[in-house]
Amino acid sequence: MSTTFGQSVTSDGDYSITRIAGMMGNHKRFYSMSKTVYNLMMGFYSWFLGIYVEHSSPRGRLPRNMISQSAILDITAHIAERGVVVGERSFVGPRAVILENSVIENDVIIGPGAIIGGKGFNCYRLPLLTIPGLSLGWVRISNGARIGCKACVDKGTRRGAETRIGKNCIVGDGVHVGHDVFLGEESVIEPGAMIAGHVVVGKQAFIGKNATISNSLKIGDTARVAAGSVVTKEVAPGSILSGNFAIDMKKHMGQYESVAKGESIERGNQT
Amino acid sequence: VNQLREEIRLSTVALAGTELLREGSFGSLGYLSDKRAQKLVFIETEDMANKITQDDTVSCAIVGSALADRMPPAIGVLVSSNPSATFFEVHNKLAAESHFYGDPFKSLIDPTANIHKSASIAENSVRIGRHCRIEANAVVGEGSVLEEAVSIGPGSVIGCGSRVCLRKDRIAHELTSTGGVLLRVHSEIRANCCVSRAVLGGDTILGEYTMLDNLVSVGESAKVGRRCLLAANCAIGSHTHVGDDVWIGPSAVLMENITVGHKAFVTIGSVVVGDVAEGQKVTGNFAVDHQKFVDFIKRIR
Repeated sequence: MSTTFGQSVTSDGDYSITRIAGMMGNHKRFYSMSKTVYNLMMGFYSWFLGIYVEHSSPRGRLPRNMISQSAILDITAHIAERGVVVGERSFVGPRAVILENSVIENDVIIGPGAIIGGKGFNCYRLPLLTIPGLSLGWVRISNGARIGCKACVDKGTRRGAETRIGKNCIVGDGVHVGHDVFLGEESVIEPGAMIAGHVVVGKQAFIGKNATISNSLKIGDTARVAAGSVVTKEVAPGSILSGNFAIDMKKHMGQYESVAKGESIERGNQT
Repeated sequence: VNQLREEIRLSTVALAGTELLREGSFGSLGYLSDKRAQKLVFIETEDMANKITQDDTVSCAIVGSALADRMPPAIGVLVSSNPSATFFEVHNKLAAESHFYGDPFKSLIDPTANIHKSASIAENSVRIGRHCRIEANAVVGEGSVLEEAVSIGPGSVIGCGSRVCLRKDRIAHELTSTGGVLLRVHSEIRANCCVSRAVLGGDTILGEYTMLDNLVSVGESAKVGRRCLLAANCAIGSHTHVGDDVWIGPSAVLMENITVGHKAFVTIGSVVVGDVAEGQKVTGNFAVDHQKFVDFIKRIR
């Protein structure tokens, strides 16, 4: 959609709600507005579309489940009634939950208690009202990925958007993978890490235990984020970060050493 | 649920090894920081003894023999060599043997509630209101009250008995959870969250339109206000009060027993150990004012 919201509605004369959903879905263009106006607009949009989605029962239109004969699903695992694909030789552990609009490719392992395809946490805060954003997208877990126990993978927010776990990714126990996240091939997310919405993690990147990645960031290929870091800025490919907020690991260790020696931060910085 | 119905005389709970110095009666058990009327507390340190003189909500106290003479004359006093252990013993005894914390009742589930077949709802003392939605593998434990249109995501556990253990003299004293969880109208909980039951009576409360993302844990007796957003992986300590319209960022931690004001903003990865003022934005481990923290980070980055 190259045209703006107002133009395409007037010129096409197409008021179908799904079309508006598609256009509004690409909402990053509105980021330049003031936050209040943006929240107001997106909030009421989500509200109305939410009511529409609820009453039109989109579940009825979802495709039937396609579950491979060679997939192993635990008897206590819950698979949604429609809109789930489970590929060959995939394994879904006990008490795992796979909700609508989830695609699990071949040789995937979903750990016990993992929740795949939960709603994203995109909320619009208005005075006296908080409106949850929509979760119309889906989740794709590519070949050979492993999802740990009690991990949560949210689905994409706008229509057609996906949260994708790349090939041979390892997602640890208790990890939260937010809405619209893209995890590159062979990246490793250690247990307890939290990846907020719209993050792109490069190939073979490493996110340490209990690390937190703020939303809409890019983590470069083969970058390493140390355990317990809080990343708030983009991470260049191949770099190593640590700290809360995360800075270059060498700088952080310099700071840390000066603290360990009992010097003040300023003196440690000068030397 | 768990309405405190009766007042208990201090002499009826005087256990072996304790000495009743002055008779009194109490309607609830609590810590000194709890805002409860007519409560029984335990006093172990000088600091606590100083606080009790200004506190008019305390009606009885369990104290060590050294501090017994410093108690105000109006309150009942029970002297024990190990006040906190006695306090918790009294609690466990009341929970097991009396109706002090209310009687269990058969769970009331509104027919319009949408409960998944794999969800587990306790048989006793649960109240589920109209249009609630409970998804797959969720667990709703005893003492939980869900008001209207509450939504609980897959795998979440509401009203888990929080095992508060007190380590004293190398013995872990385990407490029985007797309180409940109160989820107000339209509160929403996503996947794999844990909300603990209050231990010493009362409720863990989530306010109207409050939303919890995945993997959030809320400690016992924590009170979260209206329209709060608690992002993924964050943790609220027990007895913490959170005001209205608060944002708690991803992976943030609020320690026990603190107060976060209305419209406060706790950013990503913060570890909050002290009170946060109304409208304040805090960052860092440990959390300080956001602007100060950002200036510091810019200097070392």
